[in-house]
Amino acid sequence: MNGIGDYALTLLMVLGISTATPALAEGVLRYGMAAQDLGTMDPHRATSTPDKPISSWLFNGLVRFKPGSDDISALEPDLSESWESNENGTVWTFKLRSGVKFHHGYGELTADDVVYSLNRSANPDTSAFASDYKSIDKVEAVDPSTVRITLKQPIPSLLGLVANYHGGNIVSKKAAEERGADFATKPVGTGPFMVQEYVPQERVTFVANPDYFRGVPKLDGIEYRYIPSDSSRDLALRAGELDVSYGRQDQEWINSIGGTEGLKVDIMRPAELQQFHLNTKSAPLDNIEVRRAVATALNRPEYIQFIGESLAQPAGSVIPAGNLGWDGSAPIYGEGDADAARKMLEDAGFKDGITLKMIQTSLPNMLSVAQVAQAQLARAGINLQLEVVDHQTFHAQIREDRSQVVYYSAARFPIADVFLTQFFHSASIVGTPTASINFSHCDVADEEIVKARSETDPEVQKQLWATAQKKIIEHICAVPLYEQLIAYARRDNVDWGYDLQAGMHLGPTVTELTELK
Amino acid sequence: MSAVVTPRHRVARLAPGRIAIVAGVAIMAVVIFAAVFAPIIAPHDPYAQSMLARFRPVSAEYWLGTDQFGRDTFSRILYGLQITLWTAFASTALAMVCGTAIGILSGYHGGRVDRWVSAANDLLMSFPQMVAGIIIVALLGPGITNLIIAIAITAFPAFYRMARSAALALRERDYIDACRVLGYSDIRIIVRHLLPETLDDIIIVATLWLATAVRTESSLAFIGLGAPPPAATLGGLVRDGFDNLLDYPGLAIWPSLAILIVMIGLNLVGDGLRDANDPRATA
Repeated sequence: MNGIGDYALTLLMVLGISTATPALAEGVLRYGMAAQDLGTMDPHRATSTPDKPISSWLFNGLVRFKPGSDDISALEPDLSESWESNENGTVWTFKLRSGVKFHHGYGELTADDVVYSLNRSANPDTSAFASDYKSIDKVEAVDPSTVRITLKQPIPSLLGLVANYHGGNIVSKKAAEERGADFATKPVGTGPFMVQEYVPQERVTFVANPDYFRGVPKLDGIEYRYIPSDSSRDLALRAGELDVSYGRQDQEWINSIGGTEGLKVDIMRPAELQQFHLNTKSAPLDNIEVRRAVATALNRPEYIQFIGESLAQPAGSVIPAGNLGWDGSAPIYGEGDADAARKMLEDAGFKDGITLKMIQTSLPNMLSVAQVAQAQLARAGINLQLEVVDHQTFHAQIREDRSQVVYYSAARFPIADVFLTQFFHSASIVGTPTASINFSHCDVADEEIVKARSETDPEVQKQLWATAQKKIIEHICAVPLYEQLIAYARRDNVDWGYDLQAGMHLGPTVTELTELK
Repeated sequence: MSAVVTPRHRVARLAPGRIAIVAGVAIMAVVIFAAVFAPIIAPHDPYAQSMLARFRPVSAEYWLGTDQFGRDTFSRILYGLQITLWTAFASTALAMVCGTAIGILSGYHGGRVDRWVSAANDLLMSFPQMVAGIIIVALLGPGITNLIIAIAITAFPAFYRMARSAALALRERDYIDACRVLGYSDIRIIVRHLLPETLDDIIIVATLWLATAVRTESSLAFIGLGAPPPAATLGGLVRDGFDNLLDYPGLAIWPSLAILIVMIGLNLVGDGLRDANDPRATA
């Protein structure tokens, strides 16, 4: 049932029939996203690429990444005006900005909301990022405009946990308690835009927040439209029905859009690491020689050719380059040597090759990469059976430990600890009570990951992280394929209002300064 | 459609549909030949990717160009024909055998069983074919076998109705009564006397349903419920082509043309047979 309406839309457009869109005010930014539907607008739950950009429009953190930047050393005040910590970095005090109002008349922001939000982020029942907050001992409201966070031990970056990113987003306590599960479609934050209407499988509309503390947004609103087919989005963009559109992530598309008058391509960080996680507890992948064969059969340089060099860069480790603690010294398999891989399988007792089951999203970008891998593995006698499902189902099923091989594309808060913990610490293994997204059931680097977390000597910490990466690579829990930047298209009258180098939310942040010229 | 046409009548009435049949048979002969001998005819391996040969235009080496993975479109269409035709033939055959058997039994016996089976059949028939197909594939999961079963289920009612109404009409005839008086078993009466009488019509219906089966298969593949990658099916090729419709329209157009040719061929044969067999169409 994937995208019947969507293809119909394309056909209508091909035939030159303009589909009826509701009349929009001049200043509404029409933003096309490659997804069937909304997953969630709850910032503590939003993990998928199509859901994340929304968080940055609706919410703020205590501190924030400068719009257009992913520089962790340049975080700036957001909901808090100032902060300080004790000498060993275990007690942090934040002074809140006064007069910040929540959307839809939910009142002024107080320390209670911050306490509530951070506890909500730390609770696995209400947050997808709970494991990031394990080191927090307690969060207290000293007075209505002061928040104190006490840590169990020093951590690499407390500010990262309270930035406008994932669990650091501050929600309205009153609204979240009142609305419960409905908060996913009726979120209340403090950001420059607020939710007006959600039409399933079609769009979410946002209106400008007139009380935004940095000033009234220049735009009147945002219309976020779900158009999963790449061609349909391109057509809509060219026909002037969209102002911004999530790109098809390859060189062909960049050349095609870049060469069209009136359109611009934005390429931004963070580079998402594209990685195959191999379930080390599932036969035949429980045999390391089989995993070695899979890794050897994959041809890593081919992905860069496939995606194109403006978007793809080589991956040197099992965490994204640029993360604090990244180490690219351990050699990685993946030269596409089918004969060697076949020999390894034979030696491991699989003369007739093997079959691996993989649940795969129907998102075109990811499905094509999976198909490239499928062809590479086939040359070595490895039959990668793709079960193609829609993106939400994919996210649900891989978390139920139902895919032997998981292709996951991710960028995280740029500190090694976060990525290593979520993907490779045994507490994060999918299907367990503390599950995060350890699809490989990897447990070889637990000791280093935990030690590094509270290590105060930066050099020792880096060494621990490097050892962890080396162990994971040698155990072949995952095969990093390549790293991919993010491409968006926009009409050239869209002015972001800042220098767009990066989007921590995997898409351009729409701020109060963004406008249509 | 009359159910009572003896073979002798039919031969005499072949004339009006003849041209259509000849054209249809010729087209289908070529198509089936291409599908069966795809491994020999195809200039390239339909699954072999080449990052250096992506989106090649039409050329002597790649007759219809290559797709985003550098796979040869012409070869993929040939293999696509194979899967698509196999799915269509297998599902129609399955529907024909089951539908006819149950239809004749139901019609011949009549009574309460007949009423219940007919009601169930009407229920199945009341679903638009695509909707029924989508539901069944969604329930069974993707894969060629499931696709065949799904299409067969959607085609079942046509054969059931046909066979049942023929059996209903025939069982009242004197010679069937005579058979009963002679003490023939029901099985013998059905197999030796009912079935041959209905076979002509059933084969015509089957030919027409082949075209529908091709269309259903292509439509399901187009919306992502066909055979999973890397299998080439005609509908799947059109869908893959859609991702690059603006820059490389050929990727969607060539397989669409292939579907069109198959549909024309099957419809010509089916319509021709039907016209030839229609007692109202006089030569």
